[in-house]
Amino acid sequence: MMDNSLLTMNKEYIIPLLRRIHKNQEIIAPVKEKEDVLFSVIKSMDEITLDYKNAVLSPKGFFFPQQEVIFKYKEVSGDYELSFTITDKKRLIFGIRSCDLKALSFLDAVYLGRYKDPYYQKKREDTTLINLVCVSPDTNCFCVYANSGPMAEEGFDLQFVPLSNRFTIHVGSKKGQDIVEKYHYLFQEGTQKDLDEEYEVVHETKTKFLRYGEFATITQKLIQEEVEESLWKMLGDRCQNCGGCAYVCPTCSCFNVIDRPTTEREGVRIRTWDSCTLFGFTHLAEGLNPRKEKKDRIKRRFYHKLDCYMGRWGTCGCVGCGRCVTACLGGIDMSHVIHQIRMEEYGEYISAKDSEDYRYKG
Amino acid sequence: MKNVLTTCTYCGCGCNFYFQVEDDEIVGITPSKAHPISRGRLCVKGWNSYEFIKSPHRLKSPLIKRDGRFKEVSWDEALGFISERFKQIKETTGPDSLCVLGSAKCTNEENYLIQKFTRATLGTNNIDHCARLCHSATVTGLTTSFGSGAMTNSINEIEGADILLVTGSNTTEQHPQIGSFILKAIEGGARLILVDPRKIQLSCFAHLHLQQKPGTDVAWINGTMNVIINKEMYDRDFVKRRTENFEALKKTVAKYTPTFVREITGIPENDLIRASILYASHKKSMIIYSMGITQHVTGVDNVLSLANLAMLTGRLGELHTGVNPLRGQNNVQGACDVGALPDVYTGYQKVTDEKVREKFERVWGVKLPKDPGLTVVEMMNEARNGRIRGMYIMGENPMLSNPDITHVKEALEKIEILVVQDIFLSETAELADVVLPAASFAEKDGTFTNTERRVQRIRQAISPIGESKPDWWIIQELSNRMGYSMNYASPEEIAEEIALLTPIYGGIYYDRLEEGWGLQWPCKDRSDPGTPFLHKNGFPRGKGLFTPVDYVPPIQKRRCRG
Amino acid sequence: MENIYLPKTAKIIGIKDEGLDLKTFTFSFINSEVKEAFSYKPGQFLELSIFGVGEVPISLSSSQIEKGSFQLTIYAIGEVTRSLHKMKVGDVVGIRGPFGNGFPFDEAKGKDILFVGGGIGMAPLRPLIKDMIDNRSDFGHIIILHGARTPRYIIFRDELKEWGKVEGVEVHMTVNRVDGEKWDGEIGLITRLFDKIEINPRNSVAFVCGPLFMIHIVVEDYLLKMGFQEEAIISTLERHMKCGVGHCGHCNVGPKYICIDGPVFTYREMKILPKEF
Ligand SMILES: Cc1cc2nc3c(=O)[nH]c(=O)nc-3n(C[C@H](O)[C@H](O)[C@H](O)COP(=O)(O)OP(=O)(O)OC[C@H]3O[C@@H](n4cnc5c(N)ncnc54)[C@H](O)[C@@H]3O)c2cc1C
Ligand code: SF4
Ligand code: SF4
Ligand code: SF4
Ligand code: SF4
Repeated sequence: MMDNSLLTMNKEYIIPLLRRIHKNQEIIAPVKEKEDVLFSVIKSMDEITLDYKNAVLSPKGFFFPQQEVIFKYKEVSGDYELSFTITDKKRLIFGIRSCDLKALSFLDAVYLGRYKDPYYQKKREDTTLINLVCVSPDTNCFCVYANSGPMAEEGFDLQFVPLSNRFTIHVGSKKGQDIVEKYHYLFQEGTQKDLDEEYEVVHETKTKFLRYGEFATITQKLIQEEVEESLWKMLGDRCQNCGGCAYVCPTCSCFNVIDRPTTEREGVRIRTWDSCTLFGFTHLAEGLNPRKEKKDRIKRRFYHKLDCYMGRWGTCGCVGCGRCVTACLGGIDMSHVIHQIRMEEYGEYISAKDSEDYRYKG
Repeated sequence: MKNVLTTCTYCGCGCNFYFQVEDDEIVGITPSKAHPISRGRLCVKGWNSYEFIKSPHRLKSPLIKRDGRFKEVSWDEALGFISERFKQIKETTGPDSLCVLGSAKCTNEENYLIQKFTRATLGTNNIDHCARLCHSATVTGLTTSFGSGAMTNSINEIEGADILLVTGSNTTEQHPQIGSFILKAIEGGARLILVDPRKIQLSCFAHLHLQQKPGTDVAWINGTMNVIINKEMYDRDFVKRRTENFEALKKTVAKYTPTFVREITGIPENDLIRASILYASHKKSMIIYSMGITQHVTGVDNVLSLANLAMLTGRLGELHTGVNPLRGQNNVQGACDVGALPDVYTGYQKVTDEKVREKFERVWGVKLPKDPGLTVVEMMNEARNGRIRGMYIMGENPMLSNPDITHVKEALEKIEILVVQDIFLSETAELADVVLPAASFAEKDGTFTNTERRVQRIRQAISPIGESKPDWWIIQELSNRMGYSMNYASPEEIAEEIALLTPIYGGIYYDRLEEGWGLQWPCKDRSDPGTPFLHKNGFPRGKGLFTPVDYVPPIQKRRCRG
Repeated sequence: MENIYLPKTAKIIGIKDEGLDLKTFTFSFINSEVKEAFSYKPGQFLELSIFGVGEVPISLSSSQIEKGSFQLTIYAIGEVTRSLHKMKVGDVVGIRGPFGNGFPFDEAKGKDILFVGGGIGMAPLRPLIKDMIDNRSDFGHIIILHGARTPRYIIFRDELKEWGKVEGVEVHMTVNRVDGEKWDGEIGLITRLFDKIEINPRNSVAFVCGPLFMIHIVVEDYLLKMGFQEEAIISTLERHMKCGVGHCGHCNVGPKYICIDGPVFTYREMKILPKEF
């Protein structure tokens, strides 16, 4: 059943399914707060919304929290006692989008490489992932160019594709298979007709993207150092050092480490999200900073996302979720930069728009 | 896990975000994407605003200084001590030997309560806060010209403007979110006229950057008007119907020819002419300014001049126009709105106005002082003279924000009883006799008013740290001990009282703030949707008043943080 | 599962002044099992914690003296390093590691060796020099060049003297300037010392550690011109670093993480990294 078989489920069964799962597992799902959608640990089924494009932030924070205690220290008779907790909770994330799902594989590459990050690893192992494929992308999305959506190829335990009145469901792992077996009465065998309809739905979705992203040639240009320094300077001049691009990015994994004493003899060491666009990121105690200028840091961000990922893991580090497009105070984002680099070929990389008077003087 | 929507506590942009809360701990921040200012963005301060909440340096218990050292005491002891001392001073040398500072960091409800405490409980109008040092020129200037001293238009109108005249504001640094709107507008084809002596981040994107010599603002603004009048580019209709005193203005600016202006300001004639034409030839022209304009001896003159310029061209009372001061701290607008000022009650109602005073006396059930009180600067002077004997400071740090620190230190040390209510042991708190630990913005309810007059909720996300308490609770407890009874169950009740007493806040109730994204004052009643831009059908003072001002060379410049 | 973020506690058992703001600390792990299991290679580094202040990467400056104890030579320059300098014998710190790749040792056997150490750059070289001298017969001629700011900043002064006495080992020193101290040696940049030495670049390995600008000059203006192979020039890189295990992202340059792919690189590897300095 696991490999190629297709399942379907009546759309109305989704809440009953989740309600059953919720009896013995925590569920994280999209929740509507005012007009915003956020992933939250839910208390009851009616908090869940199925009417959303994507959440403001990806579920990254459930694996790599914005702020996380690494350990507590306490001075005890001339030595230190260190204690740490690794959350041990079975959870299920429902409604993660394919782009954010793929982004987890990048975090895996970093945190579960040669050295394993125990905090991340446990959370990752304990979490079941059900992605819900998008049928109406948001204005800033461009996953289809980053090969991360609208459907996922891997990484899910179950993948749900919404058709007119039912979902088609793909099983991606043993964890997913277990759910299907346990609640078998809610699922049906899929047919060729379901598969055909799924194809049509996904195909139509692909035509709805408003942004363009073209990674292969852009990455090549970066690697060949064919991008003018003046572009980085211009982008740097727009950057306001907010760090937001990294915080919202589902593939950004950088963190800072801080000791926070609570009393003279005890305290905690925590880690918090960090961003390579901030001055302190590479500042050295002796006063040197290899990326002192904003242009160097912006350049670095895009080199890391495109060149470094390509060099190290053979794939580009952006999943096209569009969040940096939303979050950047300066309008510098992956889609914009790709656009600018392409424009460069035509010698008009400064987005002059229709106004001849718009001048960037540097 | 819950998501608590709240308003950023750092600057006047008023971004909204959600605190993610688990087990009474803030575990994350998510910017609101639907909010008209945040739009899914925050600056670095906003993103990290949970950091200071858990700082080990937070005050956790009331402190009384004994023999030069702070000792932890109970709330009961601290409040009892303060009320005894204040009562004693009031009885011996009168209420005017006491004074109070409100706070641009605290909520509207708390500032309302502290000015009520000052006026009703203590019986003096000696209440002020740091707006004095940053934007009082704005309030004075714009009130003279229009009858209302606030940003005329809304932040999100920037995106649709054709011309942005930005002066005295390093916007991308001080108001990052507004800076972001400006960059967006430029990308969409708007032109930026920057008038600033320094090269700042925005310089790179300015269509024209006029670098005037510091302190010569009146000259270049008069010069602009000179050009506009000479080229007959001003709005005759608007001038005739909506304003008065035009002839006097015309006379004054006549001598500010581009050449004369160049001699004073160093701005090349051509640049001045181009800037003037650009500003006057577009309908959607917005003036944006900040402390670079107000923090001068001639601050009021500078503001009056900008108001003159906008009136002359009729770039007022419509979308994408106006005179737009950017207020520094998150709630400096609100603190002024609710009367943490020596001469006005809430909504800029004058304490000297008999009718107004009677209204407040009726509702508060107490006789109120008639004369305006002391300003911050006067308070410090009087304290040095020994005429101010007791001072209560809520969440401000004059040791950092006032222009002359040695002067302030001397004054504060002279005071017999100095009470400071804060979240950290600030430089000012170190000089205090009693320090009261206040709850941070994440630990209480209330409202902030951002620079575009948008009243927005903050909501309690976690319990107060240690023994700390919300500022409103502290004031209420103290007032009760001093014999003037206050009995508010929540900030919501205080907000209701503000609405009852304040015409411009008349329709601002918590239940209404739950819908949409706050309300922009004036908001007269419950059916009023608020006012995104002011002066649509005339000015509060009737006609707009041209106030001609002449350029006076700078003598001294003052700076403050705010 | 082992928690790679959890330091092991160690006691300071010795402190030696090495000049202004520079001290060599000797540590010993408190737990005996940890002591037993601890081993490392020259060129690797540790993450040193001062609880309540923070954690910093520091190169091991000793070769394995005795099971479970080791030395770090540290410059007091920022928050953590300054607090460490205030500590006394008996105080407790946290240690993680060793991390990083370390210097090649066996590969250098049979060759002449040139060490160029500028300032604190001598610290990571010291254990390597010691090990090579201990295995003297495996290596050819050994030349050690050390440059310091002023005579007071010459580190491992006694050892440099001792090493100079060993058969087939040459030591040359220079200082940038003299600050009232007594000094009758060379004055000038470390590159001056190249006039005094003779080495066959074809069969030699150069280890160059120190400030980045020094590495650039020594490598580009001297070693390459003398005919050293790019892969026979070995150096260490320094970057802002937090975790030491390739997670935090701070030390990432191009496709390399200094902490797990380095800190030791050949010039061939260094050359292709983005020119950020
Ligand atoms: C592989 C490696 C080996 C090193 N070996 C030695 C040594 O043997 N002796 C020695 O004195 N110094 C060494 N350093 C430099 C040492 O790590 C810094 O001097 C130290 O981190 C400064 O920390 P601080 O808290 O005192 O300064 P602060 O300025 O307070 O630094 C704050 C934080 O920034 C980071 N940071 C700042 N400067 C550096 C830097 N130069 N390198 C790495 N991280 C930095 C650290 O995470 C530090 O905790 C080495 C650095 C690296 C990367
Ligand atoms: S770079 Fe931008 S679009 Fe790409 S994954 Fe990160 S946030 Fe999403
Ligand atoms: S883009 Fe910057 S913050 Fe994000 S993972 Fe790369 S280095 Fe880290
Ligand atoms: S989001 Fe934009 S403005 Fe903020 S740090 Fe990143 S690039 Fe700079
Ligand atoms: S721009 Fe102002 S209100 Fe917005 S996040 Fe930054 S400090 Fe807070």
